[in-house]
Formats: sequence, structure tokens, C-alpha cells
Amino acid sequence: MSRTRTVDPRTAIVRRGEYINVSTYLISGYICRYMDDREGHRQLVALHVPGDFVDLHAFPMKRLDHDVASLGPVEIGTYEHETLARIGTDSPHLTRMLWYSTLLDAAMHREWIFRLGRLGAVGRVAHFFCEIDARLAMVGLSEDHRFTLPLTQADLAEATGLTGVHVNRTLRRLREDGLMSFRHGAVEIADPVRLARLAEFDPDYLYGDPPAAQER
Amino acid sequence: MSDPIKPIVPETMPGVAVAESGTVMLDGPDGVAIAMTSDAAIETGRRLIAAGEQAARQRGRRAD
Repeated sequence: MSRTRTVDPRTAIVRRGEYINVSTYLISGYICRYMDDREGHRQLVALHVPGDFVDLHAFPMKRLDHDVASLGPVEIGTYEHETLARIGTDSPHLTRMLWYSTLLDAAMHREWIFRLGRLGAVGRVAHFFCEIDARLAMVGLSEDHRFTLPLTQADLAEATGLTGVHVNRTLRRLREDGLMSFRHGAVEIADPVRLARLAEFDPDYLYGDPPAAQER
Repeated sequence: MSDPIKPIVPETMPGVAVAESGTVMLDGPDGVAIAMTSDAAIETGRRLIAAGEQAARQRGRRAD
């Protein structure tokens, strides 16, 4: 890792279209990738949890087609692309892991398309929390389906293609149905089985057990 | 033998509309999840009724 640094909440880390010669690894906190429409309405297109490479695809592309920003305070590490190129030459195993990371990113994007295209408001919100719970559990940050997530309801709205009012109503319904709660950045999934059923969520696309790329 | 791909077809179940905090929210059918101002919702409702009646007439003509 070339260097590490902390980033304040809600700070742009990479701007769409700018030349990049480093890739960002998320050590702690949460980062989003987003796109704005012509009127400035934001759509979150990805959420990154600790342990994720945020913009590994910039290694071959040298720019991003979207923006990257911190949600809460984050600590990131940056890898110069020259270093990644050396890994590609010297370590086939690490190269496979980096490739795996990028493919996993694509798998999550497919699932986000499914979420927005096929699910209603309740399903979308439920699916979002099921995915984050599963991903955080993989890195030891969700315990018994409880975790912290420094998102506002507006962020959640931007991730699920809903308005803030709609998200508020949906969260209330999920809470009143005894499925989950989301208050002040604290998530508690009381009934993960029912929530997953509602979300049509199957964590298979996260390839958590065990990823083939980890086999030497 | 692979499973046949089901095409997306028109919904037979109506959506659910509710009003809250001065906003109308339409949930369903299918993946619809949208919030509208009261004016937009009322006008959308009118247009939906007009289009629904027109579609019903078209269906009736095809049945002849």
C-alpha cells in the first residue's frame, strides 16, 4: 500500500473522468459510488464496506465513469497502479484475487439492477439491508444481524430509487412488521429469514463460501 | 432442457396508493415504487383512467 489517509464524511474521493494512477482500498468506514442526473438528482450505484477495493477497475481504465465519495469518516489506502502492475507480473494468486474482487463488483451491480427493476419499495429496502448485512458479516462487522451504517434516509433513498418520504414509510412498515429497524445509523435485523424472503435475497451472488479465487 | 424465459406482461393486479405527509406513494404493481405531489398524482390518476378506458375499448374491438 503506497499510503493511507483519513477522509472526512461526505467528501469526494474520485471525480468522474479525472485521470487516476492509483486505486483505493477501503480500510474502515463506508464509501459510495454515485451518478447524478442532469437535474442533480443522485443515484447511488454501489456501496463499499471495509475490505473492498473501491476502484480497481480504474487500474486498466485510468478514469471512472462515476464519482466516489465517503459517507461517514473513512480510512483508505491507495495503491499506485505501477504496484498493481508488478503484482500482476509477480503474483498470479494475488492477481486472481484482484480479478475476483472486480468480478464480485459486477455481480453486485447485476443484483442492484434486479433490485431496482423487479422489486417494489419494501423489497428494495429489504434487499439493500440483507446485502449489507451479508457483506459486513463476511468481514466481521455484523454480529447477529446488527451493525452500524452511517447512512441517512436520503442516502438510502438514493440507493433504492425512492424518495425520502417513501423510504421513511417503508422503514416504518419493516419495523412495525417486526423485521428490522434502522435508527441513527444502527441497523438491527430481527427476522433475517422473513426479510430475505421479502427481498428475494439469495447471498449466493456474493460468493462468500468459499470463493474459487482463493484456492491456490 | 432450460426453463423458458417468461416475458414481462401487463400486470393484472392494481397498485396500492397511499397519501402521507402531503405526498402520494404508489407501490406496485411489479417494480413500481414512486412518490408524487398531490397535483401530479391527481393528474396521473385522470390519465390512467382515460388510458384504462381506451385500452378496454381496444380489447373489446379485438374480441369482435
